[in-house]
Amino acid sequence: MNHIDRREFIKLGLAAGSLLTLGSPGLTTKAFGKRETPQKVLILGLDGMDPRLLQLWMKEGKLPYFQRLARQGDFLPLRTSIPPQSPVAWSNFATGTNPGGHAIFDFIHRDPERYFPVFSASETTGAKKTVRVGKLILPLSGGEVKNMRKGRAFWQILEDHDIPATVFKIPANYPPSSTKQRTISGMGTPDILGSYGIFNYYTTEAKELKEDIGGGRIHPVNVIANRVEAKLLGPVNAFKKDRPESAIEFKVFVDPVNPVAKISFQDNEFILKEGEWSSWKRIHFRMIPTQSVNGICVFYLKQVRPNFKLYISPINIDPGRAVLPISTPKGYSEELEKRFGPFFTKGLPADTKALDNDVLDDGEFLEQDDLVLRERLEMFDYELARFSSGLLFYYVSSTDQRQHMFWRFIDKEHPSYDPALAKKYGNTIENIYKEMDKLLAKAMEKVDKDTVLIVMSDHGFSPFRRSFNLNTWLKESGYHTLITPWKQGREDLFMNTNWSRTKAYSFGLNSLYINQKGREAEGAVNPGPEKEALVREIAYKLENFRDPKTGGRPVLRAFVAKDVYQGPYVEEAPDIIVGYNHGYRTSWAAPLGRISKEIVEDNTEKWSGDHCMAPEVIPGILLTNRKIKAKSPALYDLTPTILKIFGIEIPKEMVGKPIF
Amino acid sequence: MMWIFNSVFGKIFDFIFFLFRNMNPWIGMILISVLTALLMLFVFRFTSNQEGIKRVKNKIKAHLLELRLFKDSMSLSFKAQGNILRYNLRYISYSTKPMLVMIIPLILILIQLNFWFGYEALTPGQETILKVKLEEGHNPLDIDVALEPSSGFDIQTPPLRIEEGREINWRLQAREKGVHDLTFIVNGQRLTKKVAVAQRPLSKISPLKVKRNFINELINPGESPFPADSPIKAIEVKYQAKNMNLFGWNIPWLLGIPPWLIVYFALSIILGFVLKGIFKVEI
Amino acid sequence: MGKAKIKLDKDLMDKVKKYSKMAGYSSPEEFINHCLEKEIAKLEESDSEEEIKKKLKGLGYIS
Repeated sequence: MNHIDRREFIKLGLAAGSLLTLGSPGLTTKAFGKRETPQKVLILGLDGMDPRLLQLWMKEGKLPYFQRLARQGDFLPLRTSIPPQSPVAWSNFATGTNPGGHAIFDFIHRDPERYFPVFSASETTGAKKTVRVGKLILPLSGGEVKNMRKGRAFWQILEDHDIPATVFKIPANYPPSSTKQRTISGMGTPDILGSYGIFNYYTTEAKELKEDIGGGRIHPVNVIANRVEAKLLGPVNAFKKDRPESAIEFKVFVDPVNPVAKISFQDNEFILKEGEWSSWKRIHFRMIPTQSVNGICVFYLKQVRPNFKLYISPINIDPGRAVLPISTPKGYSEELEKRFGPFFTKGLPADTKALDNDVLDDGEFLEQDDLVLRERLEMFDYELARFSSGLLFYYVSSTDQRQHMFWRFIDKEHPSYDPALAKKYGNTIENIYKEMDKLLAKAMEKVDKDTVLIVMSDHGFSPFRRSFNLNTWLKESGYHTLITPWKQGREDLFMNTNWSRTKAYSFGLNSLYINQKGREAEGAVNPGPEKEALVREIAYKLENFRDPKTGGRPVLRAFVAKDVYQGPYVEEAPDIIVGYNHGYRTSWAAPLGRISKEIVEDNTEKWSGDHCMAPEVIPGILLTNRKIKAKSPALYDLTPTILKIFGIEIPKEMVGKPIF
Repeated sequence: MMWIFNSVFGKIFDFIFFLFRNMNPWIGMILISVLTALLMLFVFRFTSNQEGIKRVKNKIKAHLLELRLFKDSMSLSFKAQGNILRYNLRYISYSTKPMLVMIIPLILILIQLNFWFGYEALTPGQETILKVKLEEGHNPLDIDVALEPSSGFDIQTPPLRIEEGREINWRLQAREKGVHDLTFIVNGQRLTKKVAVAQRPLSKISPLKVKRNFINELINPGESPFPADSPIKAIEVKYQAKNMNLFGWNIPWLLGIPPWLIVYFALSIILGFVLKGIFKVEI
Repeated sequence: MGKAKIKLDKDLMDKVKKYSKMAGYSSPEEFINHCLEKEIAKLEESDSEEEIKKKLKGLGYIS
């Protein structure tokens, strides 16, 4: 049986994403650059690490290596991006510019002609020309996966100067920018369905059957004669006329008494006890008799009795046979797979959606994220051991994900605070900081006098207690008009919006757009002075709005794009970037255009810490083993710093200044 | 009876591979292919009509020449083609006898070789499934099967009983290197099954142990059979198929034929042709 | 072409007649046909929109 290689997979447009301006990164398996550099740079990118928590636990003596590094060199808060979302922040760092220079403004952008949300990080187009043979559709021309980040990444500039670099899972680098350096994509990498991650959950418990949950599918099953039969859905089969979803069938045999079950599918069978996670399993989705698509996933047998409950992780791209471009050279992901076996390739591998939807509980979520963390630490040892020249950037996501989910246990004022659970899980965030201290210990052992060590995060964290629906505020303030007022709060994607009488709307987490004539399909505001005045007016009103319950100001800063961005892509920016105050964030409904009834509501979700706020509320961290000259360094200052260490002239597009 | 034959026949292979078990399995594979080629040549030499084969082959050559020389003459060409066909058929009939003589020993050899080249031993830490299959009329819920602990492996799960398949399954994790005995106590009767962990590069692995029965034993000669009155039909340890790696490339399965078998057939035939001149065998 | 009869409330039918004339349709049938086609196209479109929405919703920050 042939496996579809990634070029064919993309041709078919089977997944979201697209490429290959990459030349052919796959042909060589040897990574670039053998040159020995006298100076070396080792960067640990610890997503979401917060300077206040770090300071606190350093003082308490819980993080000895962070303390030692701060004493040896420096420790400062690091100014983050506007808005402080990971794809934006890491793009600032990668390119040394702000969003005006790299064109990533939010997790979610919008198509003004359709008033429709789109992924900001990558774009996939399917095959444009196809031929139909009976019920089969065969592609004739290639589709594409394209990285939407503009500007040049620092490892590309290093490559120009023959300086080797390994860049491990930096966010907003999917598909990886064209380079011969060793890079593997992280946040932004889709699962095999082309999504941010869709888990599958099989249950016999009727009350768990929720429809339309984000990030997962819940399937009702029956146990008949101690056997469960079910399907695991795969990518859309673009070979077939009506594009059906591909699927594999699997069976589960349960013991009539013991809490144990055997799962069997294709040529695979394995036994799990209740409460056990499987190792990685390979799955082949058959498209047509000669072609199949490979994915990997893990199984978790949550319960055997009284109700049968089985969780299957989102299906990750198999790094050993990647159907989409996830590394440069292509052989890099294969090399890691050969050494470590299958590993998480999906962007943010922790399944926060399963926890939010009660499919996994707190403990189970942590077990799952521990799989991610352990894998990450093992690979760090490997990369650190062979790092002898140039630059190594290594990224950890668990710091960010655990703060998002477990903030409710360190914040007594949080609506989801639960004292009993806080007793059990109150140390979770502290523990992940301690894990990072151990990681740092290894790095410090390796660092010699010629190596600059930088430990950084893209942003810090703040509680997310109250949610602010920007679209509802716009509507209540008269900038947004509905077709049928009583339907308010029922529909996504502005299905109920009367565009001709709407002046502004919001897609994404911090972005506000004016409904501009000539740009939006049914624009209502003239560009020029009319729009300028409107933007200033909205920004002013937003900053002065008061939370009716607490009297606090949900919006600390409303940035006007033209004032804060520089570079060739300012025109593509949202018109206002909303910077929320400590404790506030955009609501759950607003980013995809749902206009709830209340403007401000309590956030009762488990996702309880956040950072999509004003940058001054949640700076990141910066520790180095050198003294920092800059008074208030920013993410985009680190990029020219790297270049300066290697004696490379700083390109004029970069807005930052070296920190040493 | 069958078991005595099996163990003697099996010992021959143990002996053949004894010196090569710590080397790359390709060396053992080449060795057995040479021996097979020699055996085939030997059988051909003494069971076929060597003179006849030689004559037929010469005739075919002659008619091929004729075909080339008289390609302008339609009638001669036709006649030559007819003759080539005739002698080809005769050639096939001459080689039928050695083929028939070879077929049974070859099957027995293949069964043995499958133990040596078909499976990968478990590695310490690796998990697999252990299956006990019951005879018809026995329900896995009613039967009392106990597994004795061993230092070689852990039994990680309670028994998983599958009524419809008359099976009991466990998850087993390999721990120490070596060939270990799994000991079962079934309704008071002690039974054992071998488990191979991290063996030498070339080692004998028997996944299935069966009950006393002529055909069963013929096909699964790896271990001594269970007594005929046991409620157990077979015990299986799942091993992964062995890869034949050629300069970093894993030889794939072809139409359900395992890699080792493809290699074995190809090597034996090539070696047969290489060696036939030395031993003056007409094939 | 086959034709099928559809029952409409009298009130609705009156409105259809009135507005089809106002909107410049040549007949109420044409108006109804056009309306239905438009609605169906919307539903067909939203099918793929639904798919995209699902994919976006895997992002932890939104629901």
